[in-house]
Amino acid sequence: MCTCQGAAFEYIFNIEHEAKKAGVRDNVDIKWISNESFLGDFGMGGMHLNVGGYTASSKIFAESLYSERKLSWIIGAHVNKVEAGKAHYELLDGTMGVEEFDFAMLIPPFAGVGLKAYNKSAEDITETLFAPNGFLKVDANYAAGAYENWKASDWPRTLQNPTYGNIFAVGIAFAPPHPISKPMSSPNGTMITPTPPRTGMPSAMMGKAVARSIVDMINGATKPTHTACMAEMGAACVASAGKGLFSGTAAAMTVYPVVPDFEKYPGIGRDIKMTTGEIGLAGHWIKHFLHFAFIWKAKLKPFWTIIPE
Amino acid sequence: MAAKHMEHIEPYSPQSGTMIPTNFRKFLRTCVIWQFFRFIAINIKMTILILKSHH
Repeated sequence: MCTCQGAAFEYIFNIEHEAKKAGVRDNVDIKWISNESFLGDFGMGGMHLNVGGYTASSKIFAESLYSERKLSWIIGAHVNKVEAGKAHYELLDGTMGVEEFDFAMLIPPFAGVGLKAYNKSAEDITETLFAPNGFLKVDANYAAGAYENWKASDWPRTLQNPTYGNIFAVGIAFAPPHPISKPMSSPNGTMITPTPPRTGMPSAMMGKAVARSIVDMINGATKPTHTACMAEMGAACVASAGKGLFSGTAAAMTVYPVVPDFEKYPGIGRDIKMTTGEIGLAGHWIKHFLHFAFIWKAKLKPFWTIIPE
Repeated sequence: MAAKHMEHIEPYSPQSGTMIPTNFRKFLRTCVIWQFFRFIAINIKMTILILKSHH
């Protein structure tokens, strides 16, 4: 249930890239173990792209890239125990497996920090403020129920807590109404589903909208004046697949909207013209440029405001 | 003619069931001239997306 899969993606492909550069690639077996139900899910139910006259799932492109780089994969897996040199996991079909390793990188399950909240009368208001997973409740529809009932409108717009108007949560702090990917569980009852990605660009856009709302509310507005809904915003993502000014590559993706809206975009849930992806050196250049641009922005140096989220 | 870019693929493995880029496609990925134009194109696409996402 990590957020997001991008970090693991970058890590495994950069390990592969560096091993190849060092001339030891043939000595290394690299394997991806993920809770995604298919490769290329990315926690957002995958995405569809128009390529070569076809509209194809990200599953095809992800499997293509992994195959090209000689990476194998185990998907629909829940790692339930790690000991020295061994990772134990359960699969969606209920079977158990063990993978031996010399070196592994694991992304831990993602949850809130488990804060306790009390009001002025010292009454425990933790359940009012936080969802059971520890994230802060906002203006989302937490009663959507089963996957079949999910709608884009379940997702929060103002990011304001419904009970306490002076509390907001953005990015990885707010409680999503539900996952984006269709939830899956094994016959043993173990939930094996990736969590919605909400780091990076969506986080920054939410932060900006909430900051502006707070400014307006300090100046007299009675309710939030700006919105940033993941079902109405797009995201640009650049995932490194190897570093190098002339040998590096990165997957440059755009997706609109982040949360699919199957009422507005029947079939695939997204605007196919705005949902794109390709891998190449250009993506690496963009990633490298953004690295410096975001540090520039964080330091509030001249013209920082024109640097996008 | 042998397909060199497919030589590492094991028949009937999960990897054999997907598409594998040809050597020319892989060459384009790091071809500086081609990637310069892709750099511009991707930046334009991302800028449009960012503008569309702001409310």
